[in-house]
Amino acid sequence: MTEPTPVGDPPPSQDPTHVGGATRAPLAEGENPEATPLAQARKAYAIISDVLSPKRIALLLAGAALLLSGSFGGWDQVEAVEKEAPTVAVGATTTVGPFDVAIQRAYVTDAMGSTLPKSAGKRYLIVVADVRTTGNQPQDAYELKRVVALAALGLAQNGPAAYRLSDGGRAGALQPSLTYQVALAWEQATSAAVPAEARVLLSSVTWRRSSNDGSYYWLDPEPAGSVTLPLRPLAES
Amino acid sequence: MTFTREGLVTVLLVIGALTVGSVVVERLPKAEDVMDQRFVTYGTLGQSVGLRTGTITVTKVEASRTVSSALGRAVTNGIFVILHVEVTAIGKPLSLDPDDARLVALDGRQFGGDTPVSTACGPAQPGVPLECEFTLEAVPDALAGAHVRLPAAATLIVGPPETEFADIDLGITGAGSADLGAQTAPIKLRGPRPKGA
Repeated sequence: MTEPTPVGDPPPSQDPTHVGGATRAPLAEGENPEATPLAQARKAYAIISDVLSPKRIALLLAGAALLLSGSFGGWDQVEAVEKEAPTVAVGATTTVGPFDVAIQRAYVTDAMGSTLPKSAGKRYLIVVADVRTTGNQPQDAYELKRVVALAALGLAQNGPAAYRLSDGGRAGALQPSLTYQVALAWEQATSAAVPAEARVLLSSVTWRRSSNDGSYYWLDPEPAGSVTLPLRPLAES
Repeated sequence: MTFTREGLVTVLLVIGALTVGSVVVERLPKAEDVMDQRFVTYGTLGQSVGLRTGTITVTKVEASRTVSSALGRAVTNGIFVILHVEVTAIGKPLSLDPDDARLVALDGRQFGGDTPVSTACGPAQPGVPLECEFTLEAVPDALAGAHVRLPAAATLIVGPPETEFADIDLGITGAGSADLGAQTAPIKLRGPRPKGA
């Protein structure tokens, strides 16, 4: 007589490697059949723990945080302090790339002959400088816009205009081996206060190929000097 | 993936071939080098120099610290060199821009560009010689042995740069340079005019 076929759930299998018909490798010694993520992480860390100690991991994370912070501008304040322009004496020569510049005098006026005509709502802040081209080719005075700035409120965006003191004409090409006395004139809105003194900021620039169009320009301004000098009315000079 | 000796040799050969190719390409003339190559015709003071656009002759050299034109007056603590130039166009009208001229000193210094006082030079009509003055601001110690370089046509703001030039020896000796550097009498530019006018 044969044994009757059992009805209902089959009895628990005695072989844990054959659950529900599936087959898996036998558990290693000490392995937990239902490892938690924490346990898995511990196991993964165990592989590299001889190289990356917790202290080293902390250092790496700190370094990564600094790099990430820098990429989002977190170092700007530090860089601003590092790039603070050095103070330059009045009359001292500073090399700013295309030119050697020595700031000499500063004036404020409503007009200067026919060169800077009187106009409602604006005045002129004028800085007189000795300018000498550094290379062996002429440099356009237009480049002075890149290297000389005036710290004052209400200045027009397109300044300064450069004029030759020798004849009052607009400064064009500045030739090598010649030192020019140049008047740099900024238009200032009369609604803005006349600064108590003139603070002239010099930037040095580098002659390099532009990544935009492949041509060479004076680029990458870096603070090169700060000159503070009295701002006198032009009529008194 | 297995590494075999043949595979390694192949990789080394490919890298070697690429390196040789790179060196060869670097040493071959590039298209832009050929395109930017300058065509220079040499001449001397008083000699006509033929260019594709016409002929150019520097007939006389003057100097002064003060130069004026109908539009203004300029003073320099260097020296203004005034070149009297005769231009004859070929085929079509020709205009030259005095700001394109460069005075080249023996030591390589170059002078020119946007001069405080200058007059136009053109248009010169084909076959009709035009006289004009080119003003260049320089320093007296650059004059001895100096050349002037004039482009065949006015340089445009856009488009390819001019590649054809006349290079003219101004024939200034050491003594001549001292003489020019000492000139103080103001010079008035007349502007472009037909030859002899």
